[in-house]
Amino acid sequence: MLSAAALQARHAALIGVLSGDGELDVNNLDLSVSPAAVDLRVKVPGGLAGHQVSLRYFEKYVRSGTGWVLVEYVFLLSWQNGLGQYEYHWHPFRWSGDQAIFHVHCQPLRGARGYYRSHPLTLEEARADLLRRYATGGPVDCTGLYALDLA
Amino acid sequence: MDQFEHKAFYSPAEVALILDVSHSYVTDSIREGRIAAIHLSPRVQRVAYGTLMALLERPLPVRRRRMTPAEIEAVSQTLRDEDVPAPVRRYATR
Repeated sequence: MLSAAALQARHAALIGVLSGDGELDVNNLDLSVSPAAVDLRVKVPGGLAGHQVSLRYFEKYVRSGTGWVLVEYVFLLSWQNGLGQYEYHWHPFRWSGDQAIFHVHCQPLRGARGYYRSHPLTLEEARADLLRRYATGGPVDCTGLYALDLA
Repeated sequence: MDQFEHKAFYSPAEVALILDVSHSYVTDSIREGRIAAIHLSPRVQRVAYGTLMALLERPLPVRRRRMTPAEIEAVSQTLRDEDVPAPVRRYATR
């Protein structure tokens, strides 16, 4: 749980870090009402190869007592030219009730979108991972992931 | 018109060329934390586009908007309604 001041400070720090990655679109964090969202979208130029990507970091917080609790997130990397998409999600489904489920959406080049098991990670960890995936070159690789519905 | 390619990441050598400084100045600056870089491996670093533009004193624009609580809940609802298969239980439960 974060205090309002800590969440505001974190939001400002994230804007500073992510503005180094590309053109940033920021949701102004409004802590006068609940829920509140950190929603930061980054557009990255693709150079001569035309490999433009967009990244989105979405966190939903709800007020709890005097603080704010993270209850959902989506961190995603999307190639604009169809090289694929990789997303870390943590949120409930219709079949999970109120329980949020960690999972990955992975769509490789010329492949179907798949749903895989995942683990908790922070926005900062997701940023490092997604940028590394992009920097090491596309297309998206979904090998080594465990299907969410695997028995 | 810029004389360099606009892309996501630049090697230290490319940054040195664009900034017209030495390669060692860039690598030293990365090591000392004066230039933010992404470490692909212990020996391979890349500088992101926005960081380079800030070094050129041309920071990228930051657009601002405001999501209402209803818009935030709409995102949650869209995520909840995703057609994602439920995990199969590995063991039977009583």
